[in-house]
Amino acid sequence: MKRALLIGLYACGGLLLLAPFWFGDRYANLAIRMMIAALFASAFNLLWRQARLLSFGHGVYFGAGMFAVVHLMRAIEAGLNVPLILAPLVGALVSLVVGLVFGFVATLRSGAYFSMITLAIAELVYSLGPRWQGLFGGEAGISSMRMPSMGLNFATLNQVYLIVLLWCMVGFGILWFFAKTPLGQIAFALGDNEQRLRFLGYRTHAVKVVLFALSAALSGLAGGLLGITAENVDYTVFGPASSAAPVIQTFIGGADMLLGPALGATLLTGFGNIFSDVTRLWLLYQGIAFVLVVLFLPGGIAGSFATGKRVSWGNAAVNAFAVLLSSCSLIFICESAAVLLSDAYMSRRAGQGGAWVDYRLFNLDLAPLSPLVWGLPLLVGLIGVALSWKLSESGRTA
Amino acid sequence: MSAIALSAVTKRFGASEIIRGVDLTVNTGERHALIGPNGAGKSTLFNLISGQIRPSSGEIFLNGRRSDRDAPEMIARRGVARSFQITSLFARLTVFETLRLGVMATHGVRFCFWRTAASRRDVTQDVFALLGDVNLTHRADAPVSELPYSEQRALELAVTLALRPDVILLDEPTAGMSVEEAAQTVALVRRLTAGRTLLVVEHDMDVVFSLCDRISVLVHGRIIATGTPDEIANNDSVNEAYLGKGVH
Amino acid sequence: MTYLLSSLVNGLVFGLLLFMVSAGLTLIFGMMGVLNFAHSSLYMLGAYLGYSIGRWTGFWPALLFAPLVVALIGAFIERFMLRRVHRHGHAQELLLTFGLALIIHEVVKLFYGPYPVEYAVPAELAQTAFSANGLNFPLYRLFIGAVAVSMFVCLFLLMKFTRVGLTVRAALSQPQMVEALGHNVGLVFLFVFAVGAGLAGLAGAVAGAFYPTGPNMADDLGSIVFVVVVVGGLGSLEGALIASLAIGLLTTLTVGLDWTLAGALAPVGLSEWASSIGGPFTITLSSLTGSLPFIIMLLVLLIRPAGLMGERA
Repeated sequence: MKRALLIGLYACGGLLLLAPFWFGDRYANLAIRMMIAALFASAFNLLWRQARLLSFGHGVYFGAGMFAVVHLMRAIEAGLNVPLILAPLVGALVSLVVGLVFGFVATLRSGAYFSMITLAIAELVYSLGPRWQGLFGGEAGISSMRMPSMGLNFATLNQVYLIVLLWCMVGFGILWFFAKTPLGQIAFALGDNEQRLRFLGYRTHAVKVVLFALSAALSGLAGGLLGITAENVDYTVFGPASSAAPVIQTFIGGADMLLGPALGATLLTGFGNIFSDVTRLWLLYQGIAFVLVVLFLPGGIAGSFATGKRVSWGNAAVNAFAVLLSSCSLIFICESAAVLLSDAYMSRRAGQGGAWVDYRLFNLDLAPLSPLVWGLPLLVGLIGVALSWKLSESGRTA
Repeated sequence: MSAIALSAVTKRFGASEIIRGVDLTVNTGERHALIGPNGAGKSTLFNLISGQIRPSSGEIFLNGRRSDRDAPEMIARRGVARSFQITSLFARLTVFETLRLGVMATHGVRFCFWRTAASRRDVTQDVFALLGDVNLTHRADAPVSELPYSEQRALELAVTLALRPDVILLDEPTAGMSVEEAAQTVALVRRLTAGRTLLVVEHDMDVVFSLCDRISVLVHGRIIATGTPDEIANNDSVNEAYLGKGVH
Repeated sequence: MTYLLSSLVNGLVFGLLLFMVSAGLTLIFGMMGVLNFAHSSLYMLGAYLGYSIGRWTGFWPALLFAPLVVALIGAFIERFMLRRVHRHGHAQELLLTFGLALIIHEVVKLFYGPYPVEYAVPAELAQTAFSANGLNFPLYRLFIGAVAVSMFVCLFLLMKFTRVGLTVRAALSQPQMVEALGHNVGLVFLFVFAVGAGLAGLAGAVAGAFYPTGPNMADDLGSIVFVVVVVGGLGSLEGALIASLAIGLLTTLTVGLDWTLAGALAPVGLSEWASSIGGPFTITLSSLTGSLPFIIMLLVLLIRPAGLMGERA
C-alpha cells in the first residue's frame, strides 16, 4: 500500500515537472521561478542543515552568478561561441570564487557573529552596486537577449525551462550526493560539535570555507538560471529581499529535511505570484507566517509531517481548519486596515466631511464603525486559535 | 625522550591562578595517573596539553617538540588524542558514523567529495574492528543520542582511540559508572592502550592503583608528589592532603 | 578648518547616536545570548511613535512616552515569544527576531505609508547653537549628543551602583545561581530586554526628528549597528562606545572628501593613466562613505578577530 502511494507520488511529481513544456508561457515562468527559488533555498540550507551556519547575506552569491551569466550572454550576442546550456556553469564558477573569498572571512567567527558578518558583507556589496557602473550597470542594470543555440531559438520560456530543469537536477543531485561523501559527513559533525572535530585532527575552518564556497556556487547556479530567464539584472539583486527569501522559505518548508527548503520555496513563490497581484500586504503575511512557524512549528511544514508522531487524520484536519479560520480572519482585518489607512480612503472621507464612509472589500460594502465588521472576524479568529490550542493541549496529555 | 613534558607551566584566568608552576614528565609507553581533589586543576591541565588553551607561562613538549602554541587539530594530528569527562559526541550521527570520522582522519580522507564515504572499504573495515573492540557492534546503526550512559562512555573511548594515537589523554573514563562497569572499562583501557602512552585523570583509587605505573598528585595547581603507586600510598603529604588519612 | 571642526562634531554626534542604539543590542546579547535582529526596527518604531504621539501631546511628552511604549513592546516580545523559542537554541531566537524585524517593517508601511513622515524638530530646539565661518551648527545635534551621553552615564551608574544592576550583572554569568538565591531570573531578563528596547526607542524618538523618518530607517542603521557590535566586541559597552565613535567620525569625515585612488597616484605621475582606466580608480572616497563601516569591519576581522575589546564566548 505504501509502495503504491510512493510510486503515485513520484509519478505526479514527474508529471508536474514535465508539464511546463506544454503549457503556456505563464506556467513555464512560474515553474522556472519556483525551481530557481528551490535550488537557491537548498543551497542556503547546505550551510544550516549540516554545519549549523545561518547566512543572512546569500543574495550576494546569487547575484554574482546572475551578473556573470548576463555578462556572458552579452558576450555571446557579440559573437562568443558558447552554448547557452553551459552559461549557468559560469555563474556557478564565479560565485564559487566569490564564496571562497567572503567565506574565508565570514567563517573566522561562528554563531551569531557569523550571521552578522554575512549580513554586513551583503550590505557592503549592495552599497557598492550603484557605484560600479561598468560591472553592475548602475540604476538600470545590464541586460541581454538569449541567442539561439543548439538548434533551439529560446524565444519562449518553455525552452528555457529545459535548461532550468536540467541544471536544477544537477544541483539537487550534488546536494544529495554531497551528504554521503566524507566531506559531507564532516559537515554534519561540524554542526553538532565543532570542538570534538578539531580534536580529531580536522581543520574546521578550512572545512567551513569549502562548505561556504559550495553553497555559494550552487546559489550562483540558481542566479545564473534567473539571468537567462529574465535577461536582465541590476544591483538590487544584492539587496536584503534577496537574502531574506531563502531564509524564510527554508524554515517555513522545514530546515532539517533535504527537500524542506524546496517545499517552502515552491509554496511561497507560488503564493507570492498569486497574492502580490491582489494585495500589497503579501510581505506582511509572509513575515507573520514565518514568525508563527518559528514559534509553533520548529520543524517547518515538512518537518511536522515527518516527525512520525501518531497524529490522527481527524486531528490534522481540524488543525488545518483552525489555521484556515485564523488566517481568513487575520487577512480580513489586515486588508480592512490597509483600505482604511490608504490615501484613497482618506480623500473620500475628506470629501464627506470626515465621516467614516463605507469601504469596499472582497465585493462587500462594509461600515468601518460597525461592531459586526470587526467583531465577527475577531470571533472567527479566536475560535481558530482556541481550536488549535485545544488540540495541542490534548496532544500533549495524550 | 618523554611523551609529554611540562616545564614550569602556569595558567591564569583573570585574577585567579589555576595552575601554579607544574613540572610533569610522562615517559613513553607509561601509564600515568593524575589525581587530586576537585578544583585542583586537572581538567585545566588536560586542556593545556591538548591545545585547547595556552599556558600563561612555561612550555609544553610532546615527544620532544614544543606544542603549547599549536592549535588543537595540529596536536591531534601529531598523535595525541583526548577523551572528555562530559561525553562530547555528535548528536545527529549514528555510532558507526561517529567512529568513521575518527578512522577517516587516520586514512587521510578529509576533503574527499567525489565518492561516498561508504565506498571506502578499508575505512569501513577499521570502523567495524573498533566497534568490536569496545563491544558496540550491535549498536552500529543506533543514533548516538539514544545510547545509554555506559555505552556513550564506551563510544567516547572508542572515538579517542580511533585516531590510533601514540599518546592518550583520558579524562575520568569511569565517571558515573558502577563498580562492575568500571572494572570492564579498565580492562578495555588496559587492552586497547597496550604499548601506548596513557595519561588518565581519575578519582577512583582502585582504578588508579590497578591500572597505572606512576601517579602524580595535583593539589591547588601544583604537583606535590610523583611516583609509583606504593610510593604515593605511603607519602605523608599526599595522605594528608588527599587520601584523607591522618599523618602519624 | 571649519569643515574639519563641523565634521568632527557631526561625526561625534552620529557616533553617539550609533552608540545609543548599539548599547541596547550589546547589553541584550551580552546578557542573554540573544542577538536581536529587530533592534533597529525598535529604533524605527521609536521614531514613528515619537512622531504620532508628538502630534497628539507635543514633542517633549512624546519623548517620554515613545520609549516607554517601545519598552513595553520589547517586554511583550521577550515574555511571550523569545522565552518560548529559547529552549530550541540561539539560532531559533535569531530567526524569530529576524522575522519580527520583517513584520515591524511591513506594519510601519501599512500604517504610515512607504514614504517618510514629517517628524520635525520642535521650535525651541530648531536654532543654531553656534556659527563658525558661515557654517551654522544646529542646536539639535548637540541635543542628540547630550541625550546619548546622559543615557550612557545613567546606564553605567545603574549597572555599577544599584542592587538592580548588581543582580543583572550576576544573572549574566550565573543565572541558575541567581535563581537559587531567590531572584526571579526571568524577570531580570525581561527587564534587560525591555530596557534595551526602550533605549533603542529613545534613540529613534530623538533622532527621528532630525534625520528622515521613513521605513528604511531600520535597514540603513541596522547593519552599521551590527558592524559596531562586531568591531567593538559583543557584550562590551566600552567597546561599543569606542567603535561607534570611530565609525561615526570616519563616515562623517569622508563624506566631503573627493579623494580617489587615481588622485593618490599623482605624486608618482600615474594619475592620468589611472583615471583613463576608470573603474575602482575613479571611485571617490565620499561615494564609499556608505560602504566604509563594512570595510572597517572586514579589516578588523582579519587583523583582530576578537574585536576591539575582546569577545564574550
